[in-house]
Amino acid sequence: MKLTQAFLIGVVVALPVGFYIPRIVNTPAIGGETGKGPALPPIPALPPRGIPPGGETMGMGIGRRLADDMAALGMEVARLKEEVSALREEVRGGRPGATAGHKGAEDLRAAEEEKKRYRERGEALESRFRQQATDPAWASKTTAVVQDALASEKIAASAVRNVECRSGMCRVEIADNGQPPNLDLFPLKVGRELPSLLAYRTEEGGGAGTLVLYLSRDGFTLPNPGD
Amino acid sequence: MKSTFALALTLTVGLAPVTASAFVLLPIIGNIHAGSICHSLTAAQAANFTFSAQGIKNTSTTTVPVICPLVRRTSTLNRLTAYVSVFVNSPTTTTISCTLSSSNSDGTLLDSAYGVTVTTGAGATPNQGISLVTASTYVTGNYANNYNVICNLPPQGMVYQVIGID
Repeated sequence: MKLTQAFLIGVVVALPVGFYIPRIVNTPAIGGETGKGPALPPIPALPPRGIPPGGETMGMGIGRRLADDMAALGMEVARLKEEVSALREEVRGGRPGATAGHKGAEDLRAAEEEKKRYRERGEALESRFRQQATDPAWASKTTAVVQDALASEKIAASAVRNVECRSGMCRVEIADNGQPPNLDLFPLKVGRELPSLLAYRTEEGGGAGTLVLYLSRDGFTLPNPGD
Repeated sequence: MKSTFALALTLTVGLAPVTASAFVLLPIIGNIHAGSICHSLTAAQAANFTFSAQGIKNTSTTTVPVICPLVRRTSTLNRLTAYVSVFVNSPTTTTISCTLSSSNSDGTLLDSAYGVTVTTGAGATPNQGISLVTASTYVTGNYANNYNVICNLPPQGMVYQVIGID
C-alpha cells in the first residue's frame, strides 16, 4: 500500500516538472511584442500566496516552490538572452563609437605582440643554432641534401646566401627582393633528414629581406604561449 | 524502504525530460575534410588526379604532389595537429610523405612539419595515417594565415581525409 502511495505522489510531482522546465529552458528570449525577437510564452500563473502553513498538502507545497523556482529561472534565462543579444549588436557595430576605438587599439596591440613573439622566436632559434657543436660527417651529408632540394625548387644560387649544418640543425639564408621564394615542396624534399622547419624573415628596407630557415633533425622545443 | 525507492524511481523518470533538455553537446575541436578538398599544386599536374566522395586519387604512373588546405580557428593559440588518412593501393612497398606548413599573407613560409608512412598493399579502408604537428602558434595577423598539408602521392595512392585539430 505504501509503495502505491509513494508512486502516485511521485507521479503527481514529477509530471508537471518534467513538462514545464524544458518549455522554459528551450523558449526564445522575451521581446516579441517589442519587435526585438520571438516572444516568450506566458509564465504559468503562481497559486495565490498567503495560504497558512498546513493549509495545503505536502505535494502542493513542493509544486509551488518548484513553480517559483521555474519562474525565476525563466526570468534569468530571458535576462541573459537579452544581454547576449546586446553584446551581439555591439560586436556587429550596432552601437557606433561604443567599441570601434577600443577594437582598433586592441588589434594594434595584438599585432605588436605578435611581432614581438615572432622576433623573439627568431632570436631563440639563432641562439639555439649558434650553441650547437658541429658533427662534420652529418653536417656535410645534410648540407648536400639541403642544397639539392633548393636547386630542385629552382631557388637561384645567387639568392642562397648561406647553408650551414651542425650536429642536428641546419640554417639556410635566402635573400629576396620583397617576393618570398616559393618553398612549397622544399620541406617535403628535406623532410626525411630534417622533419622540422621554422622560418624567420627580417626586413632590410625597400621591401627586400632575408628569410632564414632553421631545420632540425629532432624537432624544436621552443616556448609557445599556447602550450 | 520500498516506498522511498519507488518515489526516487518515479522522480527520476519524470525528470528525465529536464536533464535531456539541459544536456549540452561539447564543441567539436577537429575539422574533418574529405580528401577531395585537395588539389594539384600546378595546373599542369591537374590531369593526374580523379576526385570522388572517397577522396583524391593519383591515377598517373608517377608520384605527384597534392595540396590540401586546413581550417584553423582563430580563437586558440594551441599548436595545430593534422592527421592525413591515405589509401596506398600499391602492390609494392610505397612511401607516402606529407608536410603540414603555415605561411603568411605574402606567401612567406613560417614553419613546417614532416611525416612519412611506408606500407605495402591495397585495402578497402585507409591503411595508413600520418600525424603532423606545427610548431607555430600564430593564428591571426600577418604571420600565420594559411595552413596546408602537402603530400607526395604515389601512383594509385589516395588521400581519404585530412583532419585538423587545434
